[in-house]
Amino acid sequence: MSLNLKHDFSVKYNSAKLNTQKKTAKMSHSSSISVNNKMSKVRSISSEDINNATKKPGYSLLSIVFGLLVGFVILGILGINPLIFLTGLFKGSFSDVRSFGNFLASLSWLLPLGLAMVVSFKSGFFNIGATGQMMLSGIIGWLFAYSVSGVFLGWFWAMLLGVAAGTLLAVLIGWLKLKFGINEVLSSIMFNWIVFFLYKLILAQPQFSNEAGGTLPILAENSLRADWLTDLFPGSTINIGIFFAFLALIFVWIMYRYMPFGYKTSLLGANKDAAEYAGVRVEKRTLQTFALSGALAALAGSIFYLGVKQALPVVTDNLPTEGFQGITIALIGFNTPMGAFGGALFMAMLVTSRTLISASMDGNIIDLVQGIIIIFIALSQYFIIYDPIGKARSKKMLSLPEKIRQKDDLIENLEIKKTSINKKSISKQKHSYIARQENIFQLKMSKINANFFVINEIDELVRQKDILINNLKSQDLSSEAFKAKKEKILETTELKIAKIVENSQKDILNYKEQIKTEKLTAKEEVQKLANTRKEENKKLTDQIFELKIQLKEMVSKEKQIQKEGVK
Amino acid sequence: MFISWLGVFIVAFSAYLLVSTGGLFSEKSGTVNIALDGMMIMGAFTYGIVLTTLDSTGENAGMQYVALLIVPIVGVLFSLLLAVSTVNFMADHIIAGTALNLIAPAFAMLVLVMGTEQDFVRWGLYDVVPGTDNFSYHFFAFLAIALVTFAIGYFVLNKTTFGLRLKAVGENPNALAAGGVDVNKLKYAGIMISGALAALGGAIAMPIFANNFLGNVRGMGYMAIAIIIMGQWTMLGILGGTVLFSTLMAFTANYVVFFPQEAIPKQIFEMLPFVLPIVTMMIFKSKQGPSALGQPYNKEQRN
Repeated sequence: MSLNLKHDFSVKYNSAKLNTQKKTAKMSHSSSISVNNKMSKVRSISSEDINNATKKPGYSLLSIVFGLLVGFVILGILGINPLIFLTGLFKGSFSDVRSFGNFLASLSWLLPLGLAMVVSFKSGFFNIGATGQMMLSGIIGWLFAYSVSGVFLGWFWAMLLGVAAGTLLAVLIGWLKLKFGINEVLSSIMFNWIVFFLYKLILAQPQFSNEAGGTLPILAENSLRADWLTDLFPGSTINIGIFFAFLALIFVWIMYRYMPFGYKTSLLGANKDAAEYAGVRVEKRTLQTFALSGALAALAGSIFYLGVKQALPVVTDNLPTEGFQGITIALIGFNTPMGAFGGALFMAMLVTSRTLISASMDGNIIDLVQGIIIIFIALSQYFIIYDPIGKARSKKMLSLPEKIRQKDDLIENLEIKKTSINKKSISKQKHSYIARQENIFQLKMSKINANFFVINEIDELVRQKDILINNLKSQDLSSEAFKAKKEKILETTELKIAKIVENSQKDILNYKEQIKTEKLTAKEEVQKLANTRKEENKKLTDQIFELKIQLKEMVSKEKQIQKEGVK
Repeated sequence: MFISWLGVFIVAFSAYLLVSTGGLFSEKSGTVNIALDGMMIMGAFTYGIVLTTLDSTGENAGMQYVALLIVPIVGVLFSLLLAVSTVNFMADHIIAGTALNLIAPAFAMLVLVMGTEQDFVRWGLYDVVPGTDNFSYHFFAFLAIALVTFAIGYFVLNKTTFGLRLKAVGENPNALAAGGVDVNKLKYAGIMISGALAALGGAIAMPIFANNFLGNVRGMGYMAIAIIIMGQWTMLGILGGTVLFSTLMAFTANYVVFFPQEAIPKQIFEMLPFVLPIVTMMIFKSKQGPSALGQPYNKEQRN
């Protein structure tokens, strides 16, 4: 499925540029080289991705399961037993012959609708206008089938006219895209509403409408219903549209598998540059794709309105959701015809059970579940295209040369780590040594200071003693008294000196011890650092050694493989 | 007659202006937002439910402004669904938007039908007698909200760093990423702003549906997209488109008054808002939207 908005805008942008540059030259918008240059830069979802997607239908199933689960949760919150919904899904389609007939009837218009989306997605367009094409086909077909009688094969002409009208609408959208660069999504949305009001215009005509607000039923001779089919599934809405649906399926399947037309149009979606260089006429194929997609959607519309409903049913003020079911089908079927068949089976189940479910709960749950499924499929595209899981897994599974390169890198890293560790620890050692030495130096300084302090104190005391003795001399004392006093002074000074020395010795011893411990710790620290360094070195060298052995083995293996390859 | 026309005109003008301004924010940040319709439905739905629970008697007119405060929050939450799928999971914008457009009306109707009884009849139509003049002075408050939001939006988009960066994301996200700006954050901001404004617009559009909310907003969200296209992705263009479309809407709403014989079917006029953008695109093909519109931004990808 291709994201073509980006392409469109780039096309428009560039074509606009070109138009201003070369007003006289008639340039086709989608075939200019500058467009392609810009295109190639943009990563669009290519056919490779689509192929990728075809390998992973599990995502579709998972999305359906998740969608149903979320629907269940919402129902549970609203206070409704979700199991009723689940059983209703199966009962509505497979409980008896009538409901199975209805199931086939739903399938008959859902299948071409899904195929219409597959065709447009495969070529990289988004035909969101399927709703409008369906309704237009219904309107034209109804007008014919209601008013014209007595024509041979009336139902066929009604259907043909409807399909022609829907096809023309789709071609108009394609033409607007090619000629004016109008994005097909935007124009389709607008056309959907234009056709919607046309539909309402028909409903508003008093001669056409019934009391319920819908139109009167078509003439029985122009109906798509066949008596033998209705007898087979009595009471159901089954009609011969189911055969057209399967014809369409077979046609589209053959077209993409065996016909050059299918290949060429799918190339458009895969890679527009490549398609153009390969000689695909882009404009022609674009229009053809739109025509085919529109025809299929219109076929779905004819079957829906002329076969199933037999009239134009009443509508609300919003677009009918029937046309959008094609998107779900194509997405569930990962854009392949056969996948769309599976998607249509599932959607037919949902749509058919709507009447049964509406009896016990609101039928809008179907649209809700459908919307949630679309969201989940859109999310799963991310896993398919960008493949985050695969990327994570592929990192683990490497080829031999890649492994060798990885090992080599690892060894290099380890060696770098080793040297850096050594450098770091050596510098650490230096720093710690210097710090310790500083400490020791300071301690020594303080020890010396303490010594100086003691000497100073003693000096002071001696000086005081001398002063005291001199004082005694001047006081003129008798020799005995003088002697006694002198001795006293001498004693006290001695005592004081002894005290000071005692004190200071304690301090100095303290300092000495501190210096000793400091020296010891410094030694220990250095040794510790050296030891850890040695240990780490040993570990790393062991690791590197082991890795080198492994590397050798791998290299020899690779050589062997190469030799075998040569042989 | 004129009063009735004016009432619809003012309400439609306010709603369209809000929704298309919000839509422009997301388009400028490179996200195609076709889920505007779904966001409007969620806004209208939330508005109705909040109003019914806050003011079940219908006497307290101020409650509708409280409801209008809550509505944008729900709009932002709903738009996160689009943001996560398109920005983080790089889903196709149209597919995600279509899914949202399917989910919103289905959810609204499911809750309305299955939920607590049938008491969702009142939708805050204070002072309005449906069918007669259909005018309330609260409409002027709506108009003021819309105009102020538009003015702020104009200023933010054209004069602030945030707005200029937002516009750059829509043109060339890789250049912005190279400049060291978080692209995904800006994309989120664009989508969330559009969600808030679209929900607010949906709530304000409620009087048009006049007690008859059936899980849709009559395609007003799609018309907002048409307005953005017709306005050629500019704020002033949007203003012009809004005036045109709301005039048309007011005209079709009072169609019987203007055309008693219904010489021209009403549906033709209802079609007009969808024909005009196609014609506009055919004429002004030279000027187009943001160049990176609709492209997923992938960081790992070389450009």
